[in-house]
Amino acid sequence: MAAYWQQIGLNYLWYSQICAKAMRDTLKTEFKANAEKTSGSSIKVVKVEKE
Amino acid sequence: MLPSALLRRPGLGRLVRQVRAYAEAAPAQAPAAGPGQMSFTFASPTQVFFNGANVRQVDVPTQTGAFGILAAHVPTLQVLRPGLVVVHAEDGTTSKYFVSSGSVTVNADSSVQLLAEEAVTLDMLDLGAAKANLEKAQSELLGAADEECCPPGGGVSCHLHHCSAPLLCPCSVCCRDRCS
Repeated sequence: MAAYWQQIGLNYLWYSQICAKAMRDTLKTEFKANAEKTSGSSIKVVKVEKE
Repeated sequence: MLPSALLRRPGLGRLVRQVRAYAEAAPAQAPAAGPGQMSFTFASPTQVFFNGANVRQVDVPTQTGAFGILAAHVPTLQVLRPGLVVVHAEDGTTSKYFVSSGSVTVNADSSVQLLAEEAVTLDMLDLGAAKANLEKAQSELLGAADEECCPPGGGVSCHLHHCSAPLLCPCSVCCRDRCS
C-alpha cells in the first residue's frame, strides 16, 4: 500500500523537502532566520553572459 | 610448488614462512550501552539532541504508524512522517520534539538512530501560523482538484494533532510547475 505521494510517482526526498518547508513556515519568527540558513534555499545562481 | 629460484629471494622466503591465522573480529562499536539498555542518538542536520544517550523509551511517528521503542526492540528501519517524537528518559521525564521527516533505525544491539530532516522543540512552533497555512493548503487542494496531471484524490493535505503543521498539497506545489 503505497503512500499517496508514491502513487503519484514522486519520491520520499520530494515529500521530505515539502514537509521541511511547511514546518519552517510555521516556526516562530525569531527562529525562522536560523532555519532559512539551513534550508538550502539561499543558493544563488548567476549566469555569466558571453560578451 | 614455487620454483626454488623464486624462493631464494629474501623477501618472498619471509612471506612464505608467515603463519596464517584467522582475522580477529572487529572491536565492538562504542554505542552498546549495556544489555537491556538503549543507546539513543537523535539529530537533525544542524543540531544533535541526543548522542548515545541512555533513555527508556522513544515514541516515533512513521509512515506506517506511530510506535514506541524500548530497549531490545526488534531491529527495524522506518521512515518518518511529520509528527511528535517523545523521549522518555530514565528518570521518567519526557521531552517532545516535532519532526518533519527523516528515518529511524533500530539495531540488534539496541542502539537507535533517529535522523530528522528538521526537528524542533514545541515552543519554537507558532500555532497561529500553522492553522493559517493549513487553511491555505486545504483551499489550494480544493482549487487544484481539476488539474489533469493529478490523479483524483491524489493530493492530500495532512495536518497533525496539536501541532497542526500542514503538508502542502502536491498539486499546488509541484504539479503546476510540471504541467505549465
